[in-house]
Amino acid sequence: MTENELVDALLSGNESVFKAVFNQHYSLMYSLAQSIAGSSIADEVIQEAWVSAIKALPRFERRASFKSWLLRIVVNEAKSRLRKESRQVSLEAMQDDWTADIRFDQKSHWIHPVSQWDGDTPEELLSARQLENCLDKHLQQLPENQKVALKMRDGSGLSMEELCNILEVNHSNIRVLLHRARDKMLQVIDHFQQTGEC
Amino acid sequence: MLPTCREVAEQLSENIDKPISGFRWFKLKLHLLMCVYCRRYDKQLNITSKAIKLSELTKAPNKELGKLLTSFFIQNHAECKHHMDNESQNKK
Ligand SMILES: [Zn+2]
Repeated sequence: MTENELVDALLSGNESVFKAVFNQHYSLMYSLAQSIAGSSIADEVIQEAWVSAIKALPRFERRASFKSWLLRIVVNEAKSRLRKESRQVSLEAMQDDWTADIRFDQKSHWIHPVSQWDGDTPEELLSARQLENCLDKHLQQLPENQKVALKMRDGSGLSMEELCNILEVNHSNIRVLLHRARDKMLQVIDHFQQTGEC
Repeated sequence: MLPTCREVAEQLSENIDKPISGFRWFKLKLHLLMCVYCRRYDKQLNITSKAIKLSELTKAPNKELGKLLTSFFIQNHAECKHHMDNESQNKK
């Protein structure tokens, strides 16, 4: 079924297509909602997002992909929920200055040797259940946009174009978000490798 | 001028998403050839990216929510249809 046919089927009220689309995108929507608004209200965010999407469907312009459109509604819904809950400390305000990174000298070369890890694959490294928990913990602590970008790109394999549409930022911003997020997670793994601690 | 380690670190992430090409790729390669730390960083970055993939769990759909939304979907469609039928009748 092409995306056009899918949208037509939804517009004509096809129940089984709706169920299939709901199931197909659930995990991705959950991951996105959880990244922004937390797991306790992720399902509520999904519910509100779907209600908005169902109502807005007749006005869906078929320029962007349906999936991107849907995910963007989730992002907006999650962000507005977060504002309402207003218990959110600004994560973006967290120290996040790549230029002030102490790992580089004035000439932007590495100051200390970059270490060598014990494994060559994530499976070898992640076999330690602790590391997995540790990654998860630090992933949650990333600034919101970095977290969303990393989870959607590396976690769920969304394309750069989809990410741009969903987060409404340009390519070079996405590149920066991804690099910072990956670099932070790399340091988490590195610390774990060196010390065995999270 | 070859890129610095800091620039290489940024480019290696960029390269995961969209392979760097041309002269930039050549300069990046040359730096990597000479710099063991950046080579290690390259490897670590790729492992990290894959580790994120592994740690992302697939969540099974919430069935209750699915049912709830399906009935909303059907009800909403019925109302829209009713509304549109009325409109077209009014036009006549
Ligand atoms: Zn280097």
